[in-house]
Amino acid sequence: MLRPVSIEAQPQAWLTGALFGITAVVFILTSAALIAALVRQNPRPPTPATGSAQDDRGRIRAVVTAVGATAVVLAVVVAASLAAGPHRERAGPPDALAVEITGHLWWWEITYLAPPGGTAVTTANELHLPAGRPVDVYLRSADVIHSFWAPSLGGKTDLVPARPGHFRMTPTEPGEFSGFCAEFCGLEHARMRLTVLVDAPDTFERWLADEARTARAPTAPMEEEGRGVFLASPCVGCHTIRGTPASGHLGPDLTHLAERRTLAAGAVPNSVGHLAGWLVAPQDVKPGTLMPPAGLPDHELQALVSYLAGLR
Amino acid sequence: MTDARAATAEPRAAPAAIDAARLPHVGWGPAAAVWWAVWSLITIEGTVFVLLVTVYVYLRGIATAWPPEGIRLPGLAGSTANVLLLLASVVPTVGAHRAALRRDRRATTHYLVVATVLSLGTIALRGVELAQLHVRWDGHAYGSIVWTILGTHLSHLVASTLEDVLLCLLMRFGPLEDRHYVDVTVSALYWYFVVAAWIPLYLLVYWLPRAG
Amino acid sequence: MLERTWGPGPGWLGRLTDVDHKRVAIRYVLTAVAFGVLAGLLSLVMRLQLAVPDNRLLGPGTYNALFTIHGTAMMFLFAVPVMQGLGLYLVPLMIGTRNLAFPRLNVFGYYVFLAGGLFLFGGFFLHASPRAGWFSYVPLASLQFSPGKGVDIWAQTITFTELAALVAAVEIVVTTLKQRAPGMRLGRMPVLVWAMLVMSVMVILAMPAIMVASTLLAMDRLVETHFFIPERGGDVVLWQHLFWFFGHPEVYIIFVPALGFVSQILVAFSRRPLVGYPAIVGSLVTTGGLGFALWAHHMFAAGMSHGQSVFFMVASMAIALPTGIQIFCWIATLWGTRPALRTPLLFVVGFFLTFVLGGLTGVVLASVPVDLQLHDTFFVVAHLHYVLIGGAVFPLLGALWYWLPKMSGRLMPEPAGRASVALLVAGFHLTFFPMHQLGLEGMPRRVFTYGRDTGWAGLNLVATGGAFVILAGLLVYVAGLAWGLRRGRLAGPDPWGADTLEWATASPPPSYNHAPLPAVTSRHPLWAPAATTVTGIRSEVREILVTTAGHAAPSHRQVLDGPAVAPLLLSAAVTATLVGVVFTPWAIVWGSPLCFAALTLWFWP
Repeated sequence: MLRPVSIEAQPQAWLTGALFGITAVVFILTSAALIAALVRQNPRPPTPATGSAQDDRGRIRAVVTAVGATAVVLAVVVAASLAAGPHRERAGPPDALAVEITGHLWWWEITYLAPPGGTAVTTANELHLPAGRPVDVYLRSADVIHSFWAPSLGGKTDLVPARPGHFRMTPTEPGEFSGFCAEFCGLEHARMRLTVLVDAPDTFERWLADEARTARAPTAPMEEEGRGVFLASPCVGCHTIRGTPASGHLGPDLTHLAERRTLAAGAVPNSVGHLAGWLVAPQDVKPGTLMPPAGLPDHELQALVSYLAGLR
Repeated sequence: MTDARAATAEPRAAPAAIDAARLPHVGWGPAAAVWWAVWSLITIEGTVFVLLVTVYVYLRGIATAWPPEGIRLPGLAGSTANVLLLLASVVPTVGAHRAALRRDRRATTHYLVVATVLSLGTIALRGVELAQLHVRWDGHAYGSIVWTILGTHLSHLVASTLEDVLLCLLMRFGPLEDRHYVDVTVSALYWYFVVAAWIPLYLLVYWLPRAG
Repeated sequence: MLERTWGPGPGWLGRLTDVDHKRVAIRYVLTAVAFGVLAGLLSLVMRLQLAVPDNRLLGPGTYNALFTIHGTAMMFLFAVPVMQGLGLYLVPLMIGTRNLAFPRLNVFGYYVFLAGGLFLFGGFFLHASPRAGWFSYVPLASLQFSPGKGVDIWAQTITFTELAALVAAVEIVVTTLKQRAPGMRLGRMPVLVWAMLVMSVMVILAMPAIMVASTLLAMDRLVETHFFIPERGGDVVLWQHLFWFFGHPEVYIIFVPALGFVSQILVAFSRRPLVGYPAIVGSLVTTGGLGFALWAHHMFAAGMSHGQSVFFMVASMAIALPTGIQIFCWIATLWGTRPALRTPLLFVVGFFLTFVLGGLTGVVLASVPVDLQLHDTFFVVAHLHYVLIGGAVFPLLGALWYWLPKMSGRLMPEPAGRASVALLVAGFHLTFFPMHQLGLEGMPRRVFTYGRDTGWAGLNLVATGGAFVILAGLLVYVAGLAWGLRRGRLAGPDPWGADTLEWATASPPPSYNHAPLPAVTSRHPLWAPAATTVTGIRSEVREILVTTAGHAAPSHRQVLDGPAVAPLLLSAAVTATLVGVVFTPWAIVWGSPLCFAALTLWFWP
């Protein structure tokens, strides 16, 4: 978080550094004062009952000075914090990208809201963004409280059921950045990862156009068979593959599954082997997940895997 | 370590002792520990009521309609009768309070019995109020909070009434000491709180929704 | 004669019905420490799980149960009860009276506390643990997402412990206001008594919020109310407001008594009065009050308005001022007095070196823009342990070492004490300092594991190593206590040369504390010229002197309750009712008459 890659994260980073500096200085000064207090020897130790009123005037002055200095430091910290304050709640300029993120147990549903005259595009767990353009992120939850957090790109905002949230961010440079769920949401809170991929603007537009396309049609017989297996199975109750009849909304959109780097919100890398393992025994990969095992005979499973692995 | 004390231990005659034998063996009002205990309890329970009011106002603030669509306003007949009965019950309570301060056993017993009968009436009327809410606790948060407010206050009515019954029995049958009269006075204090707390709660539950 | 009047009855029944505040308080402290040790062992297992990435030592469900119990037990079953327990022991001695205002009520409170702790751990060991965190946010903690009895057990444990805490708080408030030695007007009270008074008032005002919150949650789960169900008019953020309105004062409830310990130890070791006693007392009161205005700094990411966030930010930073005043006054008090560097003082030094850093990271977290990054990360885990262990546990360990000679009659062995301080302070920083960095690197809280790709493994391993150094330090400390209790040098009444009234009587104190009852003319009774005493208090009954709340002028005599079995019976009835309610709401119907019967037995002369 100390290497910000968004406009909004930059004041947070310098403020953090400044506050850490103040913390270090105050801690060192206080500790030094304590050590000095213990080590020094008064010329004439006062007797307790006489309560050393004369001697104390100097001490009380020192205390008052220290308290005054503390108050000044705190006021500076307040002022700096207000200056660095988030302006995130305000909606972005008209050319801002608009994305809606819905938190689920334990994955992220990401929908690029339809621009005028266009269509919405839904994907999962990977947030592609164009560098240099502000994005309005709208946050909802389908179940419990989650929290969206990509440290390099700014602070976190909770996804609260029945209380839609919003923040704006403007990524400044391309790159790949980790994101986490930052509000304890149950069994697999630790593995509700999100990846933010910031691209150059034209790369992003190409990606978005690709993502808007319906699913790639199967080219090989195995893939064709796999598509048939998919459509005949309970998978269609939870998942959508655009261009097929499958339009379930309980699980992630799989239209371009093969493009993603990981499966199950960052639980395992997206490879054929891991995909097969995920389908056969989801509880082994991500205990507590709501996805049931595929329960398919080997041949059908292989077909299904080759179909899904072809959804680029 | 002990030299500091040695330096100040001068031989001198100790000042005259404080003779507690002449002091009374009972304290009244703020002199009594149990008075402070009851005020602590009033603070605790009062905080509970303030929190329930806050929950009510909060839930009402996020609702589009209050009561929600399809739920009738809570009935005024039983509730208003109960408010009047509660206020009336203060009279014998004050009577018992004053009689206890005089350590008048007969008068205290008499007033306590009347107060107990009236508070039993308030419990019965609270049952009527609950029936006239026209909503259960499990349909909507509105029902949940009004039942909780009425129910919590009801638990205070019941607890105070049971305490009154015990005090009546003690006054009538028991070996009495002065501190039992003090108990009657602080029990009266608690009843004043129970009645006073109900006034804003009554206005909140029964009149605020009518005010629009 | 006094010992016969004030002593316990014979045998095990005598022990069960004993109402002596010291013996009940020792039970409080021992029980709280036992729960704290259990909670600490759970955290060791958690650290083992987090020591390496992708660890499979624990599954997510077990890990979530462990951190839920760790937090719940530490906050409700250890930290608050141990502070109250020490207060229940020390306050009557320090103010010069013979017992608390309501001796039987104190016993009742202890048994209810014990029952609550056994209930929570019973649930844990019977696989019915709550798993939604000690803060139990909804909707995760609602019936839909947390089926089973775990969260209900959590909610009811709250009821037990909050009832016990309120009882102890009322005891301390009433005893402090009504039973101080003549002449001990408010401005002459020891700072620890002020701290316990402030803490107890905070308990009275804060505990109702968690009782209400946990009851509303329990009702949502058991009888289908909808306080926190958005689809039926409820709200999930309402839970957070209610919980944190209690939760933030809770940490000051734990912290304020520790500040009192520090003041007392410093005065004794500096051999001089505090610099700025009025400022220190004022700071305690201000901290207590201001602590109620901070709660939503736990909710900066939850969607508050800008104005609300600014208010809570400024208030959260402002509370650094009264704390700072105390720190500076203490340094000014110590200055140049060359105190002996014995274990209690060394723990105070450890407190300074740890708590100050924790308070400063608190100011960092109070800054809203920074908090939005650091909230819910291991930076907060670091901060909270720096202020709770540094700010409360170190002073507590110092206080135990300082006052155990009074409680037991024997001094504790210095070599073990010094070694334990070194191990504990070093182990603490080794464990928790890296967590600041982990938070900066993005490690969220409440995660049962993390991937290799995060790069968090190294610091986590260091933190786990540090946890075992802490364990070693605690073992050395306990070994020191065990040795000292058996073979330590006899302490005598006042081994430290201290100033307050508890050091005027024998070690351990007799059941009647002081004879005759003292009067005072100074803030430092043992350092002042001999003050007068009280005569005329009968010794054949449990009679004490009641004084006025402000000036502690003699008011009247009062006979306190003696041993009785009713508190045990009432606590059994309350326990049965509360446990029953977790399984069926009808438990109220059969439980209430039992409670009423026990209450009648209690109050009938």
